[in-house]
Amino acid sequence: MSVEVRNDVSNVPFIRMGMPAAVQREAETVAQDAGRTSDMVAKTLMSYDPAAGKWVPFTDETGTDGTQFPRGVLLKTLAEADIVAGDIDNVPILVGACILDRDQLVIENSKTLATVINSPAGVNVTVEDHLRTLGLYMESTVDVDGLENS
Amino acid sequence: MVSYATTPLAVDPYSRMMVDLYDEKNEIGVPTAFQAFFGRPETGGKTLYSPNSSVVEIDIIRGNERIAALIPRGTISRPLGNTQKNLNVTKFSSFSRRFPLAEEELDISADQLEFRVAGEAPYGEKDRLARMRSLASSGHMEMFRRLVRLFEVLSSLSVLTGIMPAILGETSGDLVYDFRRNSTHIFPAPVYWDGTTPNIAGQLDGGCDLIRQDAHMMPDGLLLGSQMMDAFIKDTEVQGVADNRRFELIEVSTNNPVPRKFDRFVAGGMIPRGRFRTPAGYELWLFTYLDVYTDDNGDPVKYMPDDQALIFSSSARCDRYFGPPEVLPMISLREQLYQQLFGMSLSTPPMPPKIADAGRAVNPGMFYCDAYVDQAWKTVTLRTQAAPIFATTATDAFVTITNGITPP
Repeated sequence: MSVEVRNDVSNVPFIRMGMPAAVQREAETVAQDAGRTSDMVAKTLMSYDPAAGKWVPFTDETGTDGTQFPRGVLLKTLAEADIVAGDIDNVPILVGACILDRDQLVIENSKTLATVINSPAGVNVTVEDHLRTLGLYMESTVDVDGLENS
Repeated sequence: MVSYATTPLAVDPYSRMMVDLYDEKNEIGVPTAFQAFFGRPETGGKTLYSPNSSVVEIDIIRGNERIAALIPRGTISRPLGNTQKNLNVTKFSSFSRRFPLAEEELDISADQLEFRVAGEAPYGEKDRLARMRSLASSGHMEMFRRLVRLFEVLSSLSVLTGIMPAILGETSGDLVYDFRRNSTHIFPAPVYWDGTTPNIAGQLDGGCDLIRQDAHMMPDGLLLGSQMMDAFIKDTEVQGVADNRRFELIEVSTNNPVPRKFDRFVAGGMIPRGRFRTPAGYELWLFTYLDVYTDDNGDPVKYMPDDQALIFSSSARCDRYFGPPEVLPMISLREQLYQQLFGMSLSTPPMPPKIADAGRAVNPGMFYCDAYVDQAWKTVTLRTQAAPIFATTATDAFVTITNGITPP
């Protein structure tokens, strides 16, 4: 039994501004990953495997199957067990025309917005620049409000 | 029971008179200097009485002192980089705290009422009910004094450490209220103040900087443990700047009137000692605080440890919350019983005017009195409860320098 409970609250929006033509797909399929060891959290940067017609997290900028290019952002958290069990349908994915809070974007496998994609050779584009071609702009933000000392 | 242990005395042949009772307990003040930080309207401090709810909650937003952006004119687009960062609001920390419980009990037996109470003149014909009321009044007053001393201990821990225990002795874990003082705000003196070249002014400037930067307010007070004050006034560097060289960095003098904002601390027991302007420019009013309480071993313990120094801002918001008692709800029958037994109202305890020095920080709403009687109608037990939380809400407005004196 504890005499004190702390709860940190943050309602900072991830989508800072949606253009009139902002595109969110709501019935996408995220591919099964039998080796997954953690939840896939909302705001994770995603790639699309066109051959399989399914979404996977962006983890490798050297791929040759199309997944080396991030294509959207996952908008809800998927449980590890569900990903291990099979494909997950009806997943909402943001695919374009938005300004996003760069601090809240999640990129797996230690990749960053500065990661350079060079597959095929000569493309040489950063993840951030590539996302801009989709209309996904990363905005720097700063907190007016702060949490109590931890 | 004392009946069989007391032998009746023979009536002696002298004629006698008695003067009024001297009860030292009534002369002993209840210092409230640390409590004077809490619940002060001029700092925004809140006093919350919660007679029914067992949990008090507070949301806290911490701020910063960033500046606005300048951007090129004529740009209609929205900057996405570091030139003008868009602002985020609605981040806060929410704390839920369950009240502690302090309780004192005292028995009065029917047997005691057959004997003269202190201050009762022989042949005064005080009846047993009057004796019980006298004992009850004295008992309740002592309970209040003990509770106020406990308040002072809890207040001192909250101010000095940023943590208040729900059970005395606890310093971490589930049974403490942690007001999240920045860990840099409590540090051992880099050099003992009574050691070689301790650079006391430098240590104080460092502490003042922490308050200014983390709490975003100016420190204005310095409370020194007695040994720290001794080391301070004996330090050669301090003596050097205190000398008459027109630097006017320090005045350890009673000729210097303390600003009115410190009145509450002085009324609570702090002793004004002077004023110190640090080399960096902070102005600190100096105080010592020598009051003591008696610990479980019967030894005196100072509320302000001898080897510690506290830098503070008198503007810091500190709240105090008083929770519910742990007793069944009062009904008129029990209230009447209490009033008939003791001659005083259960809801209006006879204080604080009768408790020395308590008037500034203590009021009856902090206490819950009641009594219960055994089935044999031979013993009545007085009980007083309180459930205080002293929250250093602006917690970074305090810096504590510990271990400032060379160990013996």
